[in-house]
Amino acid sequence: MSTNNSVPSHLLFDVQVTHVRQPSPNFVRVTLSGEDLVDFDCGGPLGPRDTRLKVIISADANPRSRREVLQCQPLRCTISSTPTTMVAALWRESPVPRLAPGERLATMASLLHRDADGRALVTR
Amino acid sequence: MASGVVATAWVRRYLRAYLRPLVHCLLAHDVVFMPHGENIVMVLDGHVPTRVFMKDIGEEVAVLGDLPLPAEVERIRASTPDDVKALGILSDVYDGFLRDLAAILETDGVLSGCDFWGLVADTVAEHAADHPELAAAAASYDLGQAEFRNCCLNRLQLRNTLQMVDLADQAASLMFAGTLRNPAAAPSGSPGSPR
Repeated sequence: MSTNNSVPSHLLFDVQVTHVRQPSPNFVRVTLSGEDLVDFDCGGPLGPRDTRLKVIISADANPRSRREVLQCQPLRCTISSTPTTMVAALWRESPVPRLAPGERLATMASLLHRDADGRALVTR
Repeated sequence: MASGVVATAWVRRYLRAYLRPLVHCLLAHDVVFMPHGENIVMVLDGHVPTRVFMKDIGEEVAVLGDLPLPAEVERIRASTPDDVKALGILSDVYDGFLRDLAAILETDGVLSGCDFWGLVADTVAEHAADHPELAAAAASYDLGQAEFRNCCLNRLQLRNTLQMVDLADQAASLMFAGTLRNPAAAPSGSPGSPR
């Protein structure tokens, strides 16, 4: 997938190479509609737009044509005989512009992380 | 917990940032997400989570109730048995994430599991106290129930590596194995503790 210079620099670039998760283009359309729909309050002091990161752009290579299949061959999934979506990339909104001075970000998965010496991030 | 904030205060604020909005979405809107660790981006003030961002919403959001939906996204409505609805919190959040966090805190001698799950129950109770208009939903979902069905998400991955669930009928795709004690059960139920 080529670089799109018109994508704002504050958007995250999140590439997924997967046979497992990436839905069909039609599903992506529904997904994006679903994201637009999730626009209600979460009961906290912050509005919904402060709590969700939308997917801005989603693109995938779907090996529908022989040419595309050949292009994707090195990544071909061998589990299924049915050609499935191979490569997908999506841009998400970045939370960075919505941070106040001094605020930082961390994935929640980091709370379960222990380093090589067994020290947990959350209890360090 | 380099914040200097004692563990109890840190966990309380973390749960308010993470768990409470999810509880509210379930009780107020019948909406659940897939809020595992990788799908949540925490906002930290110092080392304390103050709010969160959610991602992977469009793919994994589900509406469990009668919320009106545009036809093109009707797919996200899941026809879910009542006893499965609360699993959006009990299984996906309590068992799927908080159980592991509680284990680290207890293992490292920072906070006992009993205290941790007490704070979880407190967070749910505080939300209920602030939202009396949701009392019926709170009673219906009963996040303080003594035990809940063990929903095995990893088995879905193993069963079909191409598609975890049939998105047209997510509830029917789920796999269960026995029940788990709810570690944040209400005091009248079984005493809470990590399994």
